[in-house]
Amino acid sequence: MTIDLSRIDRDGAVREAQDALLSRGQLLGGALAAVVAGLAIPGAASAQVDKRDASVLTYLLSLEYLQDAFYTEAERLGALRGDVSAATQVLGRVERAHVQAFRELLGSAAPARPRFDFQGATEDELAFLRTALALEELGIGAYAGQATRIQSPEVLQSAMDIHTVEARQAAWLRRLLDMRPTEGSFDQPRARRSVVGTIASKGFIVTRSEIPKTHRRRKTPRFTG
Amino acid sequence: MLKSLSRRRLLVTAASAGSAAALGGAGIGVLGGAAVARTPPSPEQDERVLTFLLRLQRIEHAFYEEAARVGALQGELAEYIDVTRANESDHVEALAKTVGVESGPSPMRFTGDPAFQDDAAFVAKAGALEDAVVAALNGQVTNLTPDRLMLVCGIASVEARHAAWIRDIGKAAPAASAADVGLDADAVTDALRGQRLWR
Repeated sequence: MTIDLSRIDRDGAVREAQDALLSRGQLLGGALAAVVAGLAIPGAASAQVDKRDASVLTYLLSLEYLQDAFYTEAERLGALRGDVSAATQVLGRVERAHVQAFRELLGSAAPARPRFDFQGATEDELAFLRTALALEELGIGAYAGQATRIQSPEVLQSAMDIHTVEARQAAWLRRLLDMRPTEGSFDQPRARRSVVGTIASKGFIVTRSEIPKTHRRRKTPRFTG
Repeated sequence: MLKSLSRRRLLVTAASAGSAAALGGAGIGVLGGAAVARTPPSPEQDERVLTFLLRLQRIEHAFYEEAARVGALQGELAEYIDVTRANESDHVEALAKTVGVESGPSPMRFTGDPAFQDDAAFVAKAGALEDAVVAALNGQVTNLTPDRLMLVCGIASVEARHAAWIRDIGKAAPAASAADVGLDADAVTDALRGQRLWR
């Protein structure tokens, strides 16, 4: 079985964004390339996923849940305006596609979606942009940090195809923050423990996650993802 | 040897099914992961793959070097050129050192290229180049041994940042796709030839 865009992009959002990209590309004389949205994730049953790969995928899915919930909540609250609002919609659609793909790949082994409390960061433009950038930079390091741990070439290919999307998203958010999109010539990987610790320190995840309870700040979320 | 690692057949299949758009003539499709063709990583294969990627980085560096030398592009494009030129120089140096060769000259010269005199033309060409390099790097990740894979990972995300940056300057969506589908060497070089970015 193969997961293709038509399955993971059920609301047509990624395709819509792609169409918008093509439209805007015409401003460039049509020469700027448009990359089709697509995920090279094998739709194997979860039982066929190597145990070690399943652990990596579960971890990466947890990150994608966090990003998805953050953008989705921002969209739902509707407090953001202009370019930031437009970017949020595209970013949210892409993250939802990532979540869907990972969930299908893991099947019944996929962890439940945690509940989140973003502590107001989805309601204020500057807080939103800074938090979103932090999440995307974390994602870049997290994907790179797992590259050599993945056993299956197919899963590795899929993870790396997503890894550079996280980098594009970080660059976009940096532009919205009036920051330079790159900080150096080489991005660095981040260990799982470091990533999990950083997320835990923010207190965004409040239930049902791999984040240790001792790191959780609140029992009742203001919003749920 | 890179041809033997080809995923081109799959790309062509995807394109013919109408699920791919053009990247300078190369189809990028939704690939079934199970069909990722590969030869198990080895030091010998690392050298071949990294030599190909080094050639790409030399071309990128030469492109931005020439843009900087001409100096006709101003404002945020000048900043983009300055930053990416430095990044590509570092990439060339790192890959050359890993392969064990001199950084060496670019296989291409861009003298007289009209793209360096026109904002829109430059954005289009730089965007095509950066997107193709991201696809090229992603297209080789399953072919590398772990240490080399980490080097390529660290470069690929920076190239993706460049791609998003130049797209945003050009008023194109910087990150509208859910995945940057990797392309094999043949597909990348075909795409770049179409843009006069490969020789």
